[in-house]
Formats: sequence, structure tokens, C-alpha cells
Amino acid sequence: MAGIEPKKIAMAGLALLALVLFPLGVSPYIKAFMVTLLMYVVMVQSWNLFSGCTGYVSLGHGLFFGVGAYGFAIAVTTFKAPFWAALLAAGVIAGVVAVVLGSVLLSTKMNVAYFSVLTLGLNEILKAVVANTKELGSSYGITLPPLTNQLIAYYYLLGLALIITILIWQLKRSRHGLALKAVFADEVAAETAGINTLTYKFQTFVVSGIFPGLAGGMIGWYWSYIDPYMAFDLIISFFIMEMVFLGGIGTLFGPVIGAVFMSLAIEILSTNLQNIHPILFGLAVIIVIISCPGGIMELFDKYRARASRKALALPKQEGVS
Amino acid sequence: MANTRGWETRQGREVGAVTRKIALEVQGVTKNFGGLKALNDITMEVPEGVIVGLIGPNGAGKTTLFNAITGVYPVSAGRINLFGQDITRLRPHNIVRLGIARTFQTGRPFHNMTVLENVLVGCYFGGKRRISNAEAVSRSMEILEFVELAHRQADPVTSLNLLDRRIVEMARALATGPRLLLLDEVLAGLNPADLGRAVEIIKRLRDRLGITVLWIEHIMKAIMGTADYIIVLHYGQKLAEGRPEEVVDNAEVNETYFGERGVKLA
Repeated sequence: MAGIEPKKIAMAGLALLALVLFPLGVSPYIKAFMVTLLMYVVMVQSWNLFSGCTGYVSLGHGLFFGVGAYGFAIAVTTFKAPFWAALLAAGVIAGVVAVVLGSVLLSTKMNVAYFSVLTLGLNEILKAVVANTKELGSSYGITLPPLTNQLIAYYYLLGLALIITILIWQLKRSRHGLALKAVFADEVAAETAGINTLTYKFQTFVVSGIFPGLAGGMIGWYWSYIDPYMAFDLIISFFIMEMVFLGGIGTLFGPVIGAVFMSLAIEILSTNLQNIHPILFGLAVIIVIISCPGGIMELFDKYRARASRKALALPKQEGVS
Repeated sequence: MANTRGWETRQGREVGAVTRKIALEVQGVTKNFGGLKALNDITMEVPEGVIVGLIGPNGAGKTTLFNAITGVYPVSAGRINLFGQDITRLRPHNIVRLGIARTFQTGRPFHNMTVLENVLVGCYFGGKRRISNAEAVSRSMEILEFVELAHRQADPVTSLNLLDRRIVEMARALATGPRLLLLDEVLAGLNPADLGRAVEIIKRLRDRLGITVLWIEHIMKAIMGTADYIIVLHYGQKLAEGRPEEVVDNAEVNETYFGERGVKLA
């Protein structure tokens, strides 16, 4: 494997330092914004890990978030678990749900279209089940002891975001990543080239389900109140996809850029253009998919390729798509 | 091109000295799609180290047979043996590891990868044992040299022409280290010059690597001139088999293949 340039290490180190120091000097409003942003970064990267790498578009990835939030809430209220254990429980429960769903949704008889529709339906089913179960607070929700320090949520989510981003980065360099790329391109061909597609999809799906669970637990605590309509809000699943498509599906940093971009837009537009902003996001995604399917990362790559051609004084490439 | 030699002699063996092992044995294989019998009780053998051509009109069941052999479609009845080992109920990725690789009719290299990455997939996942990255790269490059595509190794597959895409697919199949290679219409749509190149590569697979080839093709001149043995399918059944010259002379084959107008095969 090729070594990493020292310059890149230095840049990553500086970025990390900035992210660690950033919340220390800003207002609670900005901190709150950052917590939401980091939540979305964890969500988009976990979506990117499975759906972005395999092409199995999950329309209800937010269900793992909801499962995590409820796992945390039940652990804290019913079982009186300490917070750290409850967060762990949130991840474990989301993982168990992913194992169950994965073994059904990723069987040989399922294709991409079924998978998408079923994930969408499952999110709604879980919402209805929770809303009708007394032990889960039914539709009244569950009140939690408040999280007094925003910084806990910030650093926790920052850690998760870093871990999953590093995971995707390493995945892309590994043969596991190559297997997923093959699955993305052509599953039958992948299988006949020797890839056990079911196993690779399943493993990736479970890991990609654990992270939203871990994030959901923390966000539940941070909100200090959850009900089924917040925890299983479909808009979370849809925002995730819009962010990924906007930033660049399957790329390492594209989804993060998409999350930053859209979180800012949500923050600005939801106060000024209330109720209209989801329409604008929808339009933006349609425009991106039509004009630039690779998202912001594609624009960035094109720009960089042009700059390097200019620098080397190479002729413009022609006819190559 | 005159072709008078039988498949026993192509390898320099004496006629009659047919002590080849049977690479692939298909015994009474049937595949139903609802009420349609796509494969109806097919029994055939592919001897080791030869090129066997599989021909037949559209809809004869040739590709379905490939899908049955490689485990893509589970068969409805019958048994498939590879060098005596039953592979009938195995999943495709296990069958590859036992030594059957294939290409696809429509050409299905991984479009989101480079040429080298495509071949690497075969090396990493299709082999019997786990190999290191360095070993996989050097093996892949060897295979690309063999099919004369090493100079394009870093290019995305989408930048290749039709022939080169087909060759990438073949290289990916070769990377799995097959004993039996199934080729599904690799010549379709190629121009005459490319046709010759592709045929040369297929011959080299047999002559230099000793790979057994089962090859579906519609271009009669190419397959009759290259294959050692021909099997004809029609409506999901085996219609005839024999050396190319025998099949060409088979009246029944000529009739079902070309109608009754008296056109002769090849």
C-alpha cells in the first residue's frame, strides 16, 4: 500500500485540532447547530457505507436512528442504566435490528428495488409499533433526564463521525471495498467472479446500522424527550439521501460536504422560508442528479483535473466520458 | 479455412488415443421457468483440454445452460459434475473457486473499475486460497500480458472498445484460475480484424494454458474453425453432437438451424 503524504497528515491533524477546539469559544446556538450537523455526518456516512458502496438504496435508514434513540431511552428509564451503558445498548440494539433486517432483506430473492421499498415501509411500521406500545411510551413519548453539557454530545458525535469516515477510507483501500464495488456494478458478475455477495452485503449492512443507533441514543439524550414521530421521522432518511446525492455518492468526503451544505441551508431557510425549504431541497437534488450526478465532489474533481492539465500544459481531453 | 483435423489430434495426440478426463458432466439437467422448459433433460460431456462449441438457434437454452452450470439458476432436475465432483447445488462463488469461470453474453465487466481492478477481483475472490496484494497484482499483470491488454491496465473499463471490454471480462475469468472456462458469445458484434484477435486468444487458452473451453457462438465460421467438438441445442434439448465436420453434415442440424432451403452450415 502506498504511504500517505506527510502534507496530508499535517492537514488532517490541523483539521482535527480545529474541530476539537472549535466548540470551546462559540455560543450555545452554534454548538447546537454543530451537534445537529455532526449527527447528520454520522448518518450520511453510515448510509454511504452501505447504500453508497453497494447501490442498495435504503429509503429508511433513519429507522436505526429511531431504534437507537428508543434503546437509549428504555435503558435509562426502565432499566435505570448509566448513560454510557445506555449508549452502548443503543448501538447493540440497532445492530441486532440490522442483523434481523439484513438476513431478510439481503437474501438471494431480494433485489435492489424490493430492498428500497421495504426499508421505507419498515421505518413506518416501527413508528406505528412504537406509537402503539405502552411500554415504549406510545405516542406520548418518553421524557429523559436532560443532557446538561452540549460538549458531551459534540465530542461523542465527532468521535463517531471520525471513526466511520476512517472506516470508509480504509474500506475503499481494502479488498472488502473492491468486493462492494463489484456488487455495485453487477451482482451476478461479482458472484461468478468468486465474491460471496450475501456475506459482504450483510456485514456492511450491520456495521452501517450500528452507527445511526449510537448517534440516535446520544441525540435522544440531547433532546431529553423523544416520541415516535421525531425518532422515526422520515425526513431524517430523506435528508440523508439528499445530502449524499448533493455531495457525491460513494465518495469519502462528498457526503460530509453535502451534510455541511444542507445543514447550513436548513438552518437559514427553515427560519426564513418555513415549509418551503423541503421543496427547495428536493429541487436542488433533482437538478444535481440531472446536471452533475457525481455531486459536488464531481465538480471538484473536474476542476482539479482541469487545473492539473493547465499546470502541465496538456491538451484538452476529447471524447472521453 | 480448411479444417480436417479432429479434436484428438489438435494437441498432437494420436487419433483414437482418447483417454482424456471428463471435465464437465451434465446429467439429465432440466430447468423450468414456470411452464416453460428452458432446458429439457440435457446430458452432455466436456472432455478436458479441448474447445467445445455450443451452438443452436436463439432461445435454444445455451445461456440458460451456462447459468445452470455456474449456479446462477438452480436447476429443476439433474446433476452437474466438475471433474467428478457434484456442483449442482452450490452457489456461484463456490463454483468459481472449484474451477469454472465464465463471461457474459452482453459483456459485463465492472464498469466502475479500471482494467487492472477488474482482474484483481478475480484474483482476490475467485482463487482457492487467499493471496497477498503484491501477488494478486503481479498475477493480474501476467494475465493482462497474456491477453495483450497490459498497456491499458490503469484505464477505466468505460474507455475501452467492445473487444477490449470482452477481453477484460475474459481476463477477470482467467484470474480465478479456471480449469473450465465458459465463453458466452464473445465474438458478437466484433469487426473481422477483432474477430481474428479474439479467436487467437481463445486458442491460446487451450494450447498454452490447457484450459478447457465451452463456448457459445453464433459466428459459424469462427466456431467451426476453432472448436474441437460441437454440441447443438434446440428448444432446450440436445439435437446433435460431434466433430465440426460431422455436425455440418448433419441434415437435421442444417434443417433446424437454417430451415429447409438447403443452405448448409459453415
